[in-house]
Amino acid sequence: MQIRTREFIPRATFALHDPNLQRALAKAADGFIGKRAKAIAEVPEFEALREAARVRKDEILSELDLWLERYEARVRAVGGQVHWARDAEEARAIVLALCRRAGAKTVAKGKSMVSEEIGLNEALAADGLEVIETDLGEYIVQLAKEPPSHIIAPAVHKTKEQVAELFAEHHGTTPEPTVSGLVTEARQQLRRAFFRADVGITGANFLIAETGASVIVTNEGNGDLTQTLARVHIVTAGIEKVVPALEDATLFLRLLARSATGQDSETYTTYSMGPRRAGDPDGPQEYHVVLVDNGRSRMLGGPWREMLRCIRCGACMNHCPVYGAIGGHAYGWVYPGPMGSVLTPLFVGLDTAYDLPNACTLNGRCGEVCPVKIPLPDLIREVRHAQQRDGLHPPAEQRVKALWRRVAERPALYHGLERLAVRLLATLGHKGRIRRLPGLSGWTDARDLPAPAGRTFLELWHAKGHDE
Amino acid sequence: MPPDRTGTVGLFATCLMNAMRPNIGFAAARLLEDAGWRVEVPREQTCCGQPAYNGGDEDAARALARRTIAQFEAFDALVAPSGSCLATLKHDYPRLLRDDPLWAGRAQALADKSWELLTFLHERVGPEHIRSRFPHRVTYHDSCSGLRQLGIHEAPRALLARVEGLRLVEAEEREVCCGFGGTFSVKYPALSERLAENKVQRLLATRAEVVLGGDLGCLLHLAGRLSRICAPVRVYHTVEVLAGLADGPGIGQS
Amino acid sequence: MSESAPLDPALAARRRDTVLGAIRRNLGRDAAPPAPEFPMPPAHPRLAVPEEDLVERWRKRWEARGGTSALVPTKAAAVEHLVAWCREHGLPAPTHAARPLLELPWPADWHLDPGPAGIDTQSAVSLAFAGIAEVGTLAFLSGPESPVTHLFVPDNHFILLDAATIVRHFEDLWQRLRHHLAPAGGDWRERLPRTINFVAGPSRTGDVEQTIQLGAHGPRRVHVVIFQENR
Ligand code: SF4
Repeated sequence: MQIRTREFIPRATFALHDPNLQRALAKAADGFIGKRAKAIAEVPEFEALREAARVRKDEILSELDLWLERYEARVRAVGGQVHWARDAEEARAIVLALCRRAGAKTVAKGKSMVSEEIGLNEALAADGLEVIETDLGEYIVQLAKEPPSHIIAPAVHKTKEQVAELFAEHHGTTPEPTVSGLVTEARQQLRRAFFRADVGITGANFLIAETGASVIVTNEGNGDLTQTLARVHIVTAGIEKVVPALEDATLFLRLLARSATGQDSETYTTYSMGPRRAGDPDGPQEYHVVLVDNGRSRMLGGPWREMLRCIRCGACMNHCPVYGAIGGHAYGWVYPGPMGSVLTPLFVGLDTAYDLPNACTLNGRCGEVCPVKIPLPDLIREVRHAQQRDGLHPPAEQRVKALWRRVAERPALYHGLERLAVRLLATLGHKGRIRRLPGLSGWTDARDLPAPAGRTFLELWHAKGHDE
Repeated sequence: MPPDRTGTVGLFATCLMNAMRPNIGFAAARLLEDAGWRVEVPREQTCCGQPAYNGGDEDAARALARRTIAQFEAFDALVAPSGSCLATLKHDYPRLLRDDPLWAGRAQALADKSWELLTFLHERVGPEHIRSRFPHRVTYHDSCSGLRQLGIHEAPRALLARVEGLRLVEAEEREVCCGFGGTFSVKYPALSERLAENKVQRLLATRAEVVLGGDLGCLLHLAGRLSRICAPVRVYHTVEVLAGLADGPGIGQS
Repeated sequence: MSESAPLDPALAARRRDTVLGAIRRNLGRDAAPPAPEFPMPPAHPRLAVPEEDLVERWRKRWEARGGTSALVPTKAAAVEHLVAWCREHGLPAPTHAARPLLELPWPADWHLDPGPAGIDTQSAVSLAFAGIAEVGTLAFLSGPESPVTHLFVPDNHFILLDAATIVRHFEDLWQRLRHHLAPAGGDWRERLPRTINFVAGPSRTGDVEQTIQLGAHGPRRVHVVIFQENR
């Protein structure tokens, strides 16, 4: 997937003024937040589950190699194959080679963040394969040649009229522009794709070491049709997805559906363990898992390890006021919102994704809702610190910060300058406010600056003879 | 109030309060002194270092943390009229200095006796000292760092309930950020503006005459936006109302 | 680089070692720990399921997601119920069913195929392995007696559920599964089916304007008939 994180500011500005997007975002935010709150209110154990999940995931991560080895052994035991990819390029090459070996022409895909991360669709398409996203939201954005704008609801920014237009253009049909008409149309089109596909590629919400299972959850059933009807099932998954036991998957699933969509369970949860058994009437003949590192092992060692707890539920972005104002495209890559503000710079570069962690008010709501208690604001701040160490903040800002620091460490100077500043600002004030302030136009373009009274608190306080 | 429950408070004059709204400092001092506390304002204090910390400059934040600790560690308590600065003192100082053998303990000791003003008034001073009158319809803006890092929610409401004539009308989406975010508001002005506008509309929907809050950063931001869209609403720091010092112009008014 | 180079075993082994080595380096050690540091299976917090009657709990949760259900005394009564249900709702007779169900007294004009569902399959009947009361979902184990395509391809899906197989929590199901796969001891993992499928209601999507629509790819209508003869 093309990296467009450098265009954050223009894309965000554009998004702020896109009326369809704004309407969709308002509706989505209300829906996701309200449904999650309701689901959680029904579960008094939710906090205990969050804490248990945090502790468990940390335990697993500290023994990640062990669990991956055990997982691999179990996949082999049930007749599947495990492939390890160090980076995105290797992962693409492995999947492509598997498709070629299978003589594939058509590939059906279930929703998978990792496949976006490694740019799989583009690679397969470039090799002449027909690649069909089967999650309805992903399918819509694929037709629109856009990236997903939300990890749970990829087409959340599209209106039904826009979807109807896309279908008309690509299917040559004229579906009724109602939600039910559009879903029926997509169902008919995609049904043929499922039965035509040679290879089905899905992601995995979890990998289970004890049984060699890959777990997917969907509401549509597309992931299941994808993996059941094709001859070859390929799973792409990050190495951090492994959990030891079936009971662990249960723990995380109790949190996932409630956090993501406010459901107590998604409609379909599927544990897949290898290819079709002797006598099975259906199911794929080959089963492959591509384990993707792509920088994750490095994250284990630094201050970012906690980010590997992420179960990709999307709650952080649903509760982020910045995401709520601009949607996912502005973030310019696979992972939007707060989780993306940490992950994206780590994947694509602290420099390339400079704005993401900085365009954040650190209000903390994301960390409060995260089902695995990732301290997102702290990690976002940590990315800013790493950017500072690499000298990536804008030069003017660095100069101001350095100067400010020197002054703030010298009280007499600091207070002297403060006294000067408030006097100056007071003279600029009119009816208690300043309407334009050169040098601070970022502020005064949209708001007045309340004017100070002309004396600082410290000078007034000490002038009154306090403390003397 | 028995004397053993009082002592000397070091009042932390936050940068914004010091420059933009001294009245908040005087209001705080009045309430504290009325309740028998001695209030001191160290002359050598500057900034808590939060802008540096959030801006990525840990070094600068550490240097300012050490300064602040040295200025305030002798008092019985440090009190600051801002949840945001206080969260820095309470949560970030111990973390910033945890690997510094000379300072880690001192950072924690100061953190343990540092209080956000409204919480201090509620828990240590007691609401019975509030004897003001403010016959207006008001709404309250919960600032994010106070709300999430310090859990400030009850204190301001309990204190305001003591104010004669005051009617508190709660806004929708109280837990949503107003879009100030310190340097965020100048680095990403368009985003900040949108968040401010969303917030201001929620506040206006309460038909309150007055907006109160506990953090001057958010209040300057909201007052600035309200004034720009010519909304006839006054903005004060909560303590100005509690101390009976909200008789003058609101923030950004004359 | 030849086409199959990415699958070359020697290269694959090298990649595996590199990834595992990088994990170990970043965890600050040389080899994997010999054994996990915690007990298996782990005990995690569960959700309170206060209801005494698991069938009632199960039905309440199931129906909250748009599924329908009925309670009948016996398997034979389940057949009668289904025939009546199809007639009442104007639904086509099922064409596919799980093999263990073929012996039931179906009407003479219902021709039920135990094979996989095809692109035109409109309706199928399945037998659930278990129900989970916690969230009101159903578990299926794939195999010759339980085609997975029956769960996802048809428009209408009918499911027979033995009330006695409804468990309280997922943890209960996992324990039951381990026992079911190796009733006489031995390694249950050797007998794992290809899939364990949980079905919690009709297929749904909210991908167009956040509006929930049933029947996205899988069944639009899912009707469960709970029989109680083993209760
Ligand atoms: S960071 Fe937390 S809230 Fe955000 S997607 Fe990951 S698990 Fe969900």
